[in-house]
Parts: sequence; C-alpha cells; structure tokens
Amino acid sequence: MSAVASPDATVAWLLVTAAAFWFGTWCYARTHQNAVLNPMVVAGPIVVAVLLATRTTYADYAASVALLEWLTGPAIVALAVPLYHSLAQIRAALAPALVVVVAGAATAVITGAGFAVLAGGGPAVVAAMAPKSVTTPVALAIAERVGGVEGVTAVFVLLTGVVGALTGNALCRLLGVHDHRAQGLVLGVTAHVLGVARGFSISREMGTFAAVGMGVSALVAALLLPVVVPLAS
Amino acid sequence: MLGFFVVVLALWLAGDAIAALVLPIVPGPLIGMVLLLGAFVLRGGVPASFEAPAAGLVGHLTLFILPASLGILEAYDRVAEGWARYALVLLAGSLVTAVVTAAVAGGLLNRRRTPPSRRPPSRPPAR
Repeated sequence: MSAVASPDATVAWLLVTAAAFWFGTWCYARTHQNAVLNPMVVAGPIVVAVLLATRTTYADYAASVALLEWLTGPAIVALAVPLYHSLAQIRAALAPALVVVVAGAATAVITGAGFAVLAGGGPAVVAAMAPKSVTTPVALAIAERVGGVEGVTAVFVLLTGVVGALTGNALCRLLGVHDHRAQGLVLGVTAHVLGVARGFSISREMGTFAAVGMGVSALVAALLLPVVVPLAS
Repeated sequence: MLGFFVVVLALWLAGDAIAALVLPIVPGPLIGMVLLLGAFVLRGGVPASFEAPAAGLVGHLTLFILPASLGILEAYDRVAEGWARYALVLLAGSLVTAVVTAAVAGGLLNRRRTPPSRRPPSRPPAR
C-alpha cells in the first residue's frame, strides 16, 4: 500500500467501487435480501473484473480507495449509537451471550493452534495461525507478541473473515439457529469486523450482537493466546 | 453533523492514545466506541443530531471493508507459495468454530418459534 495514488485514479476507483456496491445493494433488495446475492458477493467480482481488465495491481487499487478503509475507523466508533439503543436487549441476554462468546473464542484459538500443529506447522506457523479469528490489528499485535509472521497472519485473518461472513448465516440456519442475536454472536466471533458489517446489513439486532461478539472474543483471545501458543509449539 | 464528527474523531484519537499507553492489543477505534457508549450512558441518551451520521457510517461498513476484503487477491500469491495446506486447515478450524459457537448460541439464545397456543402449558416455578 506504499504506492501513491493520483487524484484521478482515486476518483475513478472510488466511483467503480461505489457503483459496483450500489448495484450489489440493488440486486440484494430486488431479490428480497437473498444471502447469495449480498452486496459484497456481487460488488467484489465486478471490481476484480475491472481491475483485471485495466491491469491494475491490488496495491494500486488499495492506495486509490484508502479513504474507504479509513472510514472503518469512525464507523467502529459510531457503533456506540446502535449499541446504546440496544443496551436493554444486550443486558437481558448478557450472561448467555458471554458464555457463547467465550466458548466460541476458545474454540477458535484451540482449533487455530491445534490444527496448525496437526498440519505439521512449526512454531512460526502456529503463532501466525492462532489469532486468525480476531480483528486484524488485534491479531497482528498478538502475532507479534507470540512470534508469528505478521504478513501471513493478516492473510489468515482476512480469509477467516471473508469465509465466516459469507457462510455464517447459512450455517446457523442449517443447525436450526434462527435467532438474530445468536446469529450475530456467531458472525462476530468467527468473522470479526466483516461479520459485524454483515450483521448490520441484515438487522440492527444481529449487528449489535455481532459487535458484542467481536469485542469480547478479541479480549478472550488476547488473554488465551499467550498461554496456548507456547504449549502448542 | 459537525459536532458528531468532532466527537468521533476526538474519541478515536483518545482510543489510540489509551491503546498506545495501556492496552496495546486492543484497536483504538474499539476503545473509542466504548468511550462513546459510556458518554451516552452518563448523558442518558444519544444527541438527535448523531443519529443520521452514525446510521450512515454503520450502514455502510460492508462498503468500507470491501477493498480490504479484496486483499484476498494478494493472499492467493502467498497460498500458492506453499501455504495452501494451512489455508485449508484454517477453513476447517473456522468451520469447527462456527459450528461450536452456533450450537452453544442455539442452546442458550434461540427464541421459540412455536405459536403461543402450541407451547406446552407453563407450570408455576417450583420453590
């Protein structure tokens, strides 16, 4: 992301991204919020197609649309508003929600580290893999502390988030879990900020509980990882 | 509108400062969010002028993370470098995590979908 974007490239790529997303939102609304046609699934390939057609590298694209990534900062702070409005609902479900998040976060840490060991990964791989289900900055800070490779951890975090956000709801329905609070927690624990975004695109309740899941699981992982990783490697 | 952005940027910066000083593992915006929530609780409400810009930002989170999600294109190169095995392992781990979380959540937080007339008759709690 060290590339410097020209003003025209910034405008052009913001336009492509916003237009693709706008089209994705339109498809989503037209199909009565069919999960397969969620805005990200539609907009992502469109942007990729334009990138390929114009032979633009991902690094150049990312530098051009840095503004969008920057906006996640204020958006996360602004999550306080929907959280405040749902405070009564969160309080009412706080104890079970905490149990769910601690169980989920512990499973994420143990499967992350354990499966890496089973696949024959050395200490560096285990340390890069274990923090995968927490938000990128958290995962990177943890990976650094337990000796992981930062670049690789970032890739693992991203993969986990994309897969988790795209499959979480379908998986829940498959298991007979229809409650928006429960689905929100699953999204937050397995797909961090991508899960929160997905949750808010379905309902405020799901988004709110995803935010709770993301916040608490980051804390659990931060406490568990320095203990689990040395044990596993 | 402007007041909202002043407050949000100030709390983001405060969150970054707190993160740097005491909690290096937690991202600054997340601390800023907790600070803002605390301010609303103390104040006993959300200023009316905060509602629209906050809804606009939160509602477009998926758009804001779209560029980062496309970083998966870069990930492909790394996977090709011999990390494919670990990418598969990661998917298996995510699946197990999602199933365990969903199972626990389903057990503890699944609202009943049966209509009231079909519910078993409730008994007075035993003392």
